Amino acid sequence: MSGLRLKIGDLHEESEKIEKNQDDFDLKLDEILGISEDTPEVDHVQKPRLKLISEDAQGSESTHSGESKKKKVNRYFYKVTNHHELFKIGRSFYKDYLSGVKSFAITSTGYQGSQQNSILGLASFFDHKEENLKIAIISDNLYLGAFKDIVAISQKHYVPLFKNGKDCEVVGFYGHFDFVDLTTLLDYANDCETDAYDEIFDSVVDHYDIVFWDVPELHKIQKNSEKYFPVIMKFESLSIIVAQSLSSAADVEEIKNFFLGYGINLKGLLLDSVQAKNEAKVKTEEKQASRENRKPWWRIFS
Amino acid sequence: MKKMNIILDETTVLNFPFIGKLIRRYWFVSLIIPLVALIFGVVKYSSQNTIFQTSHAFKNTAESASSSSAFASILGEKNRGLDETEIVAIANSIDFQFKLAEVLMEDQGFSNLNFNSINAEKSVPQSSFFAHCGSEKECVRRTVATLLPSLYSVVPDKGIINRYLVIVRSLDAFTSKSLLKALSILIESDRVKTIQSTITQQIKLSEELIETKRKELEEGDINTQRDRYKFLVSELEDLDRKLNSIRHNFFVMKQNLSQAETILEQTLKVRKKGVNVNELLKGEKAAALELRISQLREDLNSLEISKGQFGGKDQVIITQIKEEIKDKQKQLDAIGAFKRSISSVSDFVKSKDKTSPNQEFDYVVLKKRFDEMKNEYDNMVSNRENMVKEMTQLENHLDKYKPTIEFLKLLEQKSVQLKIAESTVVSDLSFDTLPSDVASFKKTSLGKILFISLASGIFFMFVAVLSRYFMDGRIYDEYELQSVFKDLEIIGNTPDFQ
Repeated sequence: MSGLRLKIGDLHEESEKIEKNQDDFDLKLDEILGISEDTPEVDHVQKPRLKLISEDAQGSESTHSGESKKKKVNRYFYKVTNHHELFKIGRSFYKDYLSGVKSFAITSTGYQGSQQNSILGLASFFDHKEENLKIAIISDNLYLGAFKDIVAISQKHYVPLFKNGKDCEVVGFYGHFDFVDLTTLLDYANDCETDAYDEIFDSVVDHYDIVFWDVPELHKIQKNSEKYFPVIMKFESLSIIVAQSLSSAADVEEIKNFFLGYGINLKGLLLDSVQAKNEAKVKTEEKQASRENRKPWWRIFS
Repeated sequence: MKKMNIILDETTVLNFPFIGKLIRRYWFVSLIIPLVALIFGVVKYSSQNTIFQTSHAFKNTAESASSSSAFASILGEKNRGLDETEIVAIANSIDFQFKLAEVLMEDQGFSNLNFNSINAEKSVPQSSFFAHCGSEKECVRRTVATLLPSLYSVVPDKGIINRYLVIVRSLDAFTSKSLLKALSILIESDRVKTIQSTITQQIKLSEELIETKRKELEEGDINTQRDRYKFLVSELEDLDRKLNSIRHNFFVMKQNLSQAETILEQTLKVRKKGVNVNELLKGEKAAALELRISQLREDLNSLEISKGQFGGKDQVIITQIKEEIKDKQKQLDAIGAFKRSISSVSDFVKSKDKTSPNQEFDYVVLKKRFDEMKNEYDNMVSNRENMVKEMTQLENHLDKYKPTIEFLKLLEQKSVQLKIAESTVVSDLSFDTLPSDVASFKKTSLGKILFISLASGIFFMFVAVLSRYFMDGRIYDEYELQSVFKDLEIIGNTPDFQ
């Protein structure tokens, strides 16, 4: 893959190059320290691996760190295999953003990894597209899946989101985007003492330029719909990820009808063609593992 | 419904590209079903029995010129022969099957016959068919009769009109040959017997009718009457002949009698009247003159013929003779005709005097004979009239029975002809000299089975793939996603990180 490397420091120039070449896309993230590349996955979903750029590249990158940018250059990057698709969907979301939509929700029929990948890709796209955008990624699975590694190398900081001047703990990723734990927000919103049922979510949306909602699984929302209601009401645009060969039309229809019931604007559908391959790969590995662990048939008495 | 819409296409009815996609998607089902169908076809072909078939052709000659049909047509029978359905059904009758079973059982090779149906999945030995019969021959015959229909058939030849084929199919060449031979013989003989029995029935019916009509005539005493009439006819003929003969004699005799009566009457009249003497002398003189003139004319004719022989004297003599003839003629003319009749009356009276007694006798005799003949003639005429009267009565009586008599005559004629036909009857189904060779084959050819199995396999594959598709709620590609959620935009594919 002849990758086009995006550098955070000169993001604007690079994005232009990408649009011209329409070639491969390597997303370079800020330098991450102390990241273990072989961190075990929790949800059996193949997550993207952070890669370390070479020393030479590091030297050249470090020249950018001297520039007066709030975003730092890092040594780690993700390589996007279908950068064309990323730009395609990115442009679509960006168009919405320009028309005034700033709260994007991504849901699926139970494929959290795919949701996280999409959010990460879109957040990076917006981060590349415009400088100084305050981007928030709100998820109840910050320590799982694709977010796990990035969150682990991000730094905690506090944002004044709560009432009475209280700060909310968020995980900032080198000034590019903040990861906000949805559970924390929900707990705060449902705390009787704070008496701030939905204001917290208004504060979040107001505080950030763009908010990406990693929508929890539908059954969780249905089970606790009162709790999630203020969150749902903040969705200005909802995209549903359909895992190719895995998602059923009925499930997608159910999600669609559920959110349409709340009057949420459905932006469209995202097709995830990777999930099926990953699942097949996992299944094959599981089969292989079980085959290796299985006793030969002639050793049934041992 | 959404899925159905995806499968259907406005122009090609079926969305073939999508179906192709479905086949690739469910490749295992798409592959395994035709494969299984093919394997099934091959297994089915190999498990089929080898069939041995032979056939014998025969022609329906009823329409042409068999002797029986010719006789039947002479008799005025409606001889349409057998039609196609009847010929095909000949061998299907229960009677025929039992007869065939009997013929086969009498054959020496009966124990080697294979009665398994060509569709039998497993061939069983002959003994197992008759195991329940023991030594009961009738039971065996019944069993064979029930087994046989599946082994043969009579079908029309598609190429030739009025030609049929007896086809035998069995699992054994010997059985096919034996069965075909028995069938050919039996069909022919059965047909002959059928025709014979028909004619026999007709004969019986004719004789019964003849008997009835005869009784009817006997009751009307027709035979006696008819004999009497015949007798009268012959008698009348004799009588007429005699009558004709007598009538002729009678009239001749009557004429003779009349003549004799007249002669006698005149004779008697002449004798009674007498003759005048002067008149009588004049008559004699006139007769002498006539005689002299006649002699002179003869002389004159002679002289005229020999004129010139005597020189000038001839003419003188002729003149003298002519003078004399003139003179005599004058004298005769002076006497006149009356005088001549007196002369003949005189002669007549003289002669009558002589013959008068004989004439009287003859007349009496003739009269007596005539009277006898007249009596006889009158009797015969009277007899004839009586006979004619009786014949008329008989004729009237016989006329009443005439239709019956005519009918009886025809029946008798027909009876005789039917008897001739019965003794000379031949089958109107004529078999070819030789049957066909025994051919062996499988019921369904390999190509046919493979084609059918493949076609059905493909069909079931389609059904399975479509069923699988309908039951499968998952979404496999963008096209399907777009088709199902037409109201939503497909933004694109999610990003993938390495």
